[in-house]
Amino acid sequence: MADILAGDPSGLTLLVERHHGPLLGYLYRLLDGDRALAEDLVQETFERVLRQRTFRPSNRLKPWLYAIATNLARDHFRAARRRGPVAGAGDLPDRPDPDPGPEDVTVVRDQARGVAEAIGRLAPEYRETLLLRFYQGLSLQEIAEALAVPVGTVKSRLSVGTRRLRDLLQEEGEETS
Amino acid sequence: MTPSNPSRPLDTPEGLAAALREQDLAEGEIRELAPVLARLAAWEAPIPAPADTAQLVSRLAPLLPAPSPIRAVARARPRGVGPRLRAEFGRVVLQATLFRPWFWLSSAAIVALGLGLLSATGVNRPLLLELLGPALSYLAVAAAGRAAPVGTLELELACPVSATQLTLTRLLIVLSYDVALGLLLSLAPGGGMLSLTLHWLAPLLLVSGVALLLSGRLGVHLAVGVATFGWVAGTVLMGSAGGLTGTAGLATGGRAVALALTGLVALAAAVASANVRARGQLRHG
Repeated sequence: MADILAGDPSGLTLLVERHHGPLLGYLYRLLDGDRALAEDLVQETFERVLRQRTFRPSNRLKPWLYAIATNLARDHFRAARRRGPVAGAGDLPDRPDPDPGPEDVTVVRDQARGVAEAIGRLAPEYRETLLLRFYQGLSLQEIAEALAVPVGTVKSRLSVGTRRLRDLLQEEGEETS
Repeated sequence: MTPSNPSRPLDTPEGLAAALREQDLAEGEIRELAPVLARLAAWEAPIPAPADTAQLVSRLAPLLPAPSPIRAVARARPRGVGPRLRAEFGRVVLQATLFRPWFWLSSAAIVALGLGLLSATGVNRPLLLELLGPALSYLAVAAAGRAAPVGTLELELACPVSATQLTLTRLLIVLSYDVALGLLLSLAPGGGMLSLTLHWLAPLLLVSGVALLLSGRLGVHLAVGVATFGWVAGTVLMGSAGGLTGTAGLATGGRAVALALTGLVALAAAVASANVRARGQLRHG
């Protein structure tokens, strides 16, 4: 990171190659499957990394990146609330796997839609915590740093969030069956 | 489509169970929750193509800060033994030029005065030597350590050598000069060479070490003042009841060796402490 802030282009390439995919995945799910918006916010995340000079070598890079991405998503939600509901955001899932046959695709799409809707119905603090934990593979400590909360709060959000998600997924399962 | 994060808990049932276990869930709850949560894997996220990533890098590249000329200089280290030795010699010469003439001349004047006094009869030679050594220390530390309290972060960044190297180089220069001058004192007639040397060398090292150590907290001038005055007061009060006309000193025999070793330990601690502080400044600057 110090190399990047000193203007080293190879450091930038390494940073983007390593974190582009994971950040896109996180923001895509956090933003209800809106890929275009997720792409924009990924770029903005990296832009903030390059513009702001608050990074300290003692900080861990991954939680810091996710903290910026999460704050950008929160800003987006706040702005969207002020503007009022927008129709058509996030058709889920937007890119089905091209290999399976038509029936498989339908099943996969249904399952993915069920999961996406269940996660989308969670309160933001639970959604962020669960996404960082289960999809991004962050440790409890890294999540605590990314969301600026104590590790105890992360555990409590995971505990409540997973139970709530289980109930929502079971509801979805009953509705589809 | 492959998962975007290969190390996520969702990839294997064991990974998911371990993640739930880390949340302090009971085994029964884990058995109940794991199959439901495993369904999360069905919602896959898009993976950016390498071309997309390359495009993103090219869009971000204009935002990179301009390459720092200071860092470029710092990276241009000489390669090979010859160029390195020349660079080291150049560094010593450069550092030696930092000391103004008053340092070299006043140190020499102190020794000249000491030689004059030592050749006089009826003088407490050990005590005189023990006072002359710290006087040289005072000048040495005041001259070598002057940059410490003035916040020279830009200078530190611009230098292709570390703060430790500079500190050690300066210390070596002034101590070598002081020791060379001090040896002249040991040549004074009427005393054993080793004994006389210990009388001035032990307090010189002790006062230099303590002063450098204190300079990190007190500032250079106050630190050398405290260390030198402390030694002078201690010597006069405890070491030699007869004063300048007596015959005894404080830095004799084993005590002199202990004092010298203490001084060396303090010097090492001062250099280590300066290095830690410099690293801290560079990290947060």
